[in-house]
Amino acid sequence: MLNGMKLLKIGSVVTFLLIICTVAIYAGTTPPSSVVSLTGTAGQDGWFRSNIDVSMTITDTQSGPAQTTYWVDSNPPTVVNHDVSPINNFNNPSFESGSFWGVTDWDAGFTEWALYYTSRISPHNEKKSIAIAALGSGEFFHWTNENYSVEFPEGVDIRISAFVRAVLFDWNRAYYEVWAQDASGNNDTLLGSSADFYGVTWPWEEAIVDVTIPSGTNYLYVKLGGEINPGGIVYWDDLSVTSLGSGEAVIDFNQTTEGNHSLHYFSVDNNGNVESARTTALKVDTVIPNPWQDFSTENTGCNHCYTNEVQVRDATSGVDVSTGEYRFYTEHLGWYWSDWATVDSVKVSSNGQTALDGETDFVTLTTPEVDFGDSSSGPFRLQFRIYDMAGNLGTSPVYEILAPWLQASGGSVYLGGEISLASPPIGFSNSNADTIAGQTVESIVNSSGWSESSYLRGEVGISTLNQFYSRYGEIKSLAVALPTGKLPTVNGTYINNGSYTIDVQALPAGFESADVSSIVIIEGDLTITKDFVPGTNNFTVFFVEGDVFIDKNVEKIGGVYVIDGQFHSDASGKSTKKLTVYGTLITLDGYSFSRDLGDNGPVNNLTDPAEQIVWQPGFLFDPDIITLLTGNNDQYIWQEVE
Amino acid sequence: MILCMKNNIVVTVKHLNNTGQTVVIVLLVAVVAATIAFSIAGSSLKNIEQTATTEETNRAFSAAEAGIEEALYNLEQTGSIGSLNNTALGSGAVIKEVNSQDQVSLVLDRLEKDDVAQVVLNNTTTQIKLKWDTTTAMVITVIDVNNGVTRYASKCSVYVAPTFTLLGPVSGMCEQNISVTPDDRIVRMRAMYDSTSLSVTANNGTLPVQSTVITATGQSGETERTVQVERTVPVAPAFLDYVLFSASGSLSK
Repeated sequence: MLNGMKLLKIGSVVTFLLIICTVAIYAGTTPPSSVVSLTGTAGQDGWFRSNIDVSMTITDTQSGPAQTTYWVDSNPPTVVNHDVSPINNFNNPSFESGSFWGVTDWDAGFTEWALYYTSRISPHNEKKSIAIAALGSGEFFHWTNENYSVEFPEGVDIRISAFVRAVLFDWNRAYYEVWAQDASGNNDTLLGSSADFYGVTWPWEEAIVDVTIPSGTNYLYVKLGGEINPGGIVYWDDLSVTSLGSGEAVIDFNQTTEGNHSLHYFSVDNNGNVESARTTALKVDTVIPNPWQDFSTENTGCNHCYTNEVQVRDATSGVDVSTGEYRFYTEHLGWYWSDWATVDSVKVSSNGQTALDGETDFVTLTTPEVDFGDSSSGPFRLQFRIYDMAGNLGTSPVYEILAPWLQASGGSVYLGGEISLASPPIGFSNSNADTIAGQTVESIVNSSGWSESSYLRGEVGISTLNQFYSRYGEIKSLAVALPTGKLPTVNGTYINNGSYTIDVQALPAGFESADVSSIVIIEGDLTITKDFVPGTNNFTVFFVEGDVFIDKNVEKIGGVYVIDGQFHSDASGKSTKKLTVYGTLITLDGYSFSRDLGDNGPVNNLTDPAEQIVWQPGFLFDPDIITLLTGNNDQYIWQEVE
Repeated sequence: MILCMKNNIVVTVKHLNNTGQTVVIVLLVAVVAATIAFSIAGSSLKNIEQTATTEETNRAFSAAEAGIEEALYNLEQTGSIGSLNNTALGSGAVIKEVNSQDQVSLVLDRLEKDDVAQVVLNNTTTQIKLKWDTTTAMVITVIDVNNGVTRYASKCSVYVAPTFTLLGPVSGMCEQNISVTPDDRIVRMRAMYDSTSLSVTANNGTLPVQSTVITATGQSGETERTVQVERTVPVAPAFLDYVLFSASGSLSK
């Protein structure tokens, strides 16, 4: 009867074995895993606006990481060997050694109504696993290596791993126990048990037990099995032991180089398993968007309404388009600085296309029309700002909206008409002496404060040089022809019949430094195409019966000009050069000051006036030019007295 | 008319005897004739006398002018007028007296609106005083030897030049004291809004010579005439005070 029961149980076990034989499962090696974590001040799209602390953690819970190789971009690779001390494993951990019914260095732990054998059906590792097919009533059937326990270093934290596969009823469980004993095989102590695997566990699952090797009982063995009632099969395979410390390696380094870099890396474990190469982006941008350039402004109708634009770039991470903002300043009604507002557009400067996030070329930020309130509330100011993708905020300088401006310094200013001058930058002025207009002074920055409107001079209706200066006719009558057509270097009054051009040929050697006082009458237009700056002893007064035209390339001239027509500072094109006149400009018909220095370069509208006229009081001291102008040496007032 | 008179006489004589009548008539004729004769003679003598006086006064005036011219020439050539008193001329006239006086202040009865007056400085004072009419605003420019410029724009009336510095009038005149430095060389003053009288004096020390007044007296016979001339150095035209000036144009940029 008893034999009959055993045969029945054995038959059941065989039946389970046959069932299991139909299942095929494949398994491979486990390479180490390298994981990179990046620490820093993060922005968008993986960018950091600080140096990046790179921490690479390599884990291999089986043999432990042995070596990691990494490199950035195409730089030479860095090879790091991990200092991992190999941890002993249990003997015959993959159960490859032995026969069908026996396994080397392993014993059956509870043998009643059970078959202990090796299985070749889909092992987890290599070719064999161990199996227990049993009929029981809840006993712990198990394979054990108690008699072949292995020494481990005391105090070391280790992880024991085994893979389990089971065909059990739901109330049955598979698990294993870790035991310790001393060198003599005594004082056995249960260190821990794995998780329980109830019912059918298919395919393989890993069961882990972490333990600390006790002192004195540092010989370990395990019991791989399961509680079976009334019947079932349990497989175990691929037992391993790893040191928790040696299963993980960490590499730290710092990425400081600006730019979008690629970190390439892979690791190898102590079993020679090689991790596939991985790549992680290292994106460092610690620089704010810059430079700000090409600020320009356009008047859009009213004299205090402007659209404004400026260019900026972020060459590393590129601009964050949606963050482009501006604010403006006006003293109109005490508004002062406005709140920041979104710009009207952000476009790629080179092609005018709408910029996308991360654009690294120059982009142009354009404001909508800004109404500064009124034209007299200047200076008007603007400021821009934009973030890059790393989160760096670039703020532009404070720009002043400046049209090209004029400066008349030193002497008095009188205009029969009106005066309307663009404001100079802070700290500069349009004039610094009494500035008088026959009509209105619309706008001017006069550092002296003496600006008078609606002033009627004694003389009116002046339309000729004779009317302007009563001695002009007499002076002209005394004039002689310019010597060889050149400007004079000898005192006297000279005349050129018709228009005249001051060019290289018209300037005799030594003219600028000559000690000369002369009047030069031009019976037509005067065109100046060559710079000349008379020295401190050169007092030349030009009477011009036409207009005066200054070539766009001329930057410096000198002398007193009494002009029947107009003075044109930029007669031949849109000059971007500053014109400085050392002397006086007197016209009967006004001026055309049309130079524009723009907003770029070392000399621009922010730094210099487009036209600067510098009064030369030396003319008031020179007796020779005074004699030529007034016609005598001394003045006499005759009278008979009683 | 004589006939008529004769007829009247005849009518009158009819009532007289012949002898008496004749005497009376003779006397009357004589009186009339004498009267006429004396009248004619007196007129001629007076004309002769007047001609002589005109010649004398012309010679005297010319002598005075000659004294001025000679003094100016000497002044220009030697820096002084020289000794010209009692210099006989070929015409018989005499340069009786010539003298000169340096003016160390500027006094103008009238400086025209928008015209410029000038005072020369030469480190002889540290402060000058300007006086002008209160209806005028004054732009005052002090220029030193290095072409450095100090400028004032002043007024005493609230009705002119709103942006100019308002001064308090002194004794009915607009008055301003201006400190000057050793380097300052000229002061130019431009009248605005109205013509004005103007005086410039030194508050301490003295101003350098601004002009020279030469007075010369010529004599011919008993006739004397005196001529005076004020010699000043020439002043640069007012338009040279400007850096920009346009009679009717506007200034825009």
